[in-house]
Amino acid sequence: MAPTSSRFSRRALLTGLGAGATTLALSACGSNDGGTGGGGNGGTSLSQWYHQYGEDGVQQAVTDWAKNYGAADVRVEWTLGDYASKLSSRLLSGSGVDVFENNGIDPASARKGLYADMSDVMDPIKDQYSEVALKPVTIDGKIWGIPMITDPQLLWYRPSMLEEAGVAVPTTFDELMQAGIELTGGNRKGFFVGNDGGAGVFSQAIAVAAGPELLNDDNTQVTFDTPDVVMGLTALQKAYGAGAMLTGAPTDFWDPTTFNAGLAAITWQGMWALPAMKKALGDDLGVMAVPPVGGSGKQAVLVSQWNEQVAAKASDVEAAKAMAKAQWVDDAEFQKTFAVGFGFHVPPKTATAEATTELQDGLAKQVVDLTNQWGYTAGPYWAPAMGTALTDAATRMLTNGADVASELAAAQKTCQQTLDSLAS
Amino acid sequence: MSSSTASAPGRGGTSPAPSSTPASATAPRAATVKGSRLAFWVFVTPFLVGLVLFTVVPIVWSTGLSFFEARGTLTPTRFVGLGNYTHFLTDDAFTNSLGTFFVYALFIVPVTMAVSLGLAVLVNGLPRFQAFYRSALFLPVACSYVVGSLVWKLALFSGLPSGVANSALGVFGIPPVSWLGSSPYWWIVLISVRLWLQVGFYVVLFLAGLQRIPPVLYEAAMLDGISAGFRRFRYITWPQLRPTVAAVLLLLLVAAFQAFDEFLNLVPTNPSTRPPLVYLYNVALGAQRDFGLGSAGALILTTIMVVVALLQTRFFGFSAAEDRNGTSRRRRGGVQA
Repeated sequence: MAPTSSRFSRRALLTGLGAGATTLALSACGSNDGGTGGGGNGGTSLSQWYHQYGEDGVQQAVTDWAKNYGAADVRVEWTLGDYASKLSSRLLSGSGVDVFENNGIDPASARKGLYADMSDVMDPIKDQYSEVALKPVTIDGKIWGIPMITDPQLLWYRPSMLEEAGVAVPTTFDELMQAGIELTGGNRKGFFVGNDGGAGVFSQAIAVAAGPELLNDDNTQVTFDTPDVVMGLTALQKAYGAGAMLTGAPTDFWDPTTFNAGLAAITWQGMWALPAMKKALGDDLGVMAVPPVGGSGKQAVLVSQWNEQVAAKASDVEAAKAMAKAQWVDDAEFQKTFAVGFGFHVPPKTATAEATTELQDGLAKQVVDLTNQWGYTAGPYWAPAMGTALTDAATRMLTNGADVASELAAAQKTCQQTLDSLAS
Repeated sequence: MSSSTASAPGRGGTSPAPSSTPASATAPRAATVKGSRLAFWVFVTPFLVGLVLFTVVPIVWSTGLSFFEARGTLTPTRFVGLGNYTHFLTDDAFTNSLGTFFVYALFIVPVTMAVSLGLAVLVNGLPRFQAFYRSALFLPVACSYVVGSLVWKLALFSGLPSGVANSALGVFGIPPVSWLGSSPYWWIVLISVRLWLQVGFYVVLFLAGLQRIPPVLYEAAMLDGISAGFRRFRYITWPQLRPTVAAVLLLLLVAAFQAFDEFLNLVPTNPSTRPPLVYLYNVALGAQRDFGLGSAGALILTTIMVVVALLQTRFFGFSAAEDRNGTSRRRRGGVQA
């Protein structure tokens, strides 16, 4: 009996393993990957992707909107972790994502047919958006997304610390760097502009504040290698060398905790953190654009943006476009709530921004005004590889003391090669 | 099957007598082979399918992609020949990343080797509590590299005055150091976190090697007047550990080449500490999503790693000298016979 029993057990085990593997394989083929929402409306099902917003309440707000949408079942996928990579994989595989937000629309993906053309939605209403808002969604003359929220990034400071050190609010970039040096002392640094010492944000901001910007108007030439930009980066290098930058903080500049704790007098921050900074610091908070660099410079506010897009391989492209339009073009109340109900962002539609009362006074209004006047975004032709080349050069200037002029020239050459390859 | 096998004459007996194996033993043997074949395929097929689907196909696909311009697509149409490969010859970022690997390997390989061997010798010599120390040393191996990196970044080597390392320096009146923001301090963080995470694994390998050394060799050495200390280690322990040392060296080199997690979490944007895999991650899977360039780079790195491994095995590998000199092995075998 024993051998028979043993053989049976082995078969039973193999059968069980086979059945288990089949069940797993079949369940893996399903589309249930943890999303929320869906209201049982209509026959069309849409999957809408969001990255994980830091502010409480955003997920609930978008899920509620999805439930109340009448023309399709909308399933909200709240994506934790590396959103860009996960989204890219889904777009390449052509399944599982219909409508999605994106802060990095790129020419290659548009030309390879991963995005649906949204020109038919946006062309009739594009005069309702600012040029800065339309730039990130426009490639080859077509519009590939609906601007959702605009995030101005600029400099915030503690007036009490400046006053205590006898430092005036800087009006030029040189004065700004000098102020950072003078504000450094004890456990306090002059600047917290990222754990890379400002290589990432200031390298781009200096190029804009010095005048040449990053690319020319028709996006065919890289333009940042000028004597004024060299001068600005040299001033940054000097401030870094003098120990004016706080680096090694637990989180990066986007989290205001380090600034709120008084570890730096001036920080680089997005407008999204305004409520948290106001709550912690009260009236001891001021804001300014990056001051002009050199004689022909201008102030600069860097603007990033999230945009709503539709996948070219969506299960129902027209239904997905209709849903994106209903939420991010037509529903002004939802857009206002989304912009200022949780963190602070600016609605990219001019009329909606003007109707958002929370943005009409105090620091918020100051930021909106500065953004309207000095807002800059590089646009989709400024590819990530170009950003990496410029940031790498600035990092070497700061951490290794590399020669500013030669590093900048080399970075421009690398960026130009990348830009040329995008055109081919 | 087992009952037939059990009844076969000669099994379990003290006299193997091959010539006495009866012809009747052939039938169950054939049945066993037939059954084994089925079992072989039942067990191997799932893994074979997985291997083909998730290893062979991606390698072949990746090789194909490396000859195309494949930004944002896995089904490219524009053939660029060796263009992606020649790009790396002129890309300073890539050659710098290889330099980073070289510097990193130069430190992490010998340091890990020395520390793990030293600890293994110490633990092996303990009269009691060997299991405890072995477990304690092995415990960090179970920790994720990401978690280890975050502990190093947020607690031990934070750039704030409140970080553990800076607090310790503060006791001696030394101002806070930006550990991850200035050279060469970032190497202290990068080396120490990997040392903590991996040294236990190599201690266990060395312990296994040490415990395979016949005690009779130490007894003979004692008779010759070498009782303990460095001479005993040099003339008995070290030569006997040679296969283990070769294996550890190869594993450490491969692990150093594959360094990724701690670099991405501790120094994500610093070009001076960007190893090859982080560079390739940025090119292929990060925001750039250039799968053609990424595939070409991956194949170049694979080639480099294979060449290094072959050279290492050839010159420092498992009994390399003896393998090359078959006559000495045969002569030794003859003497033993």
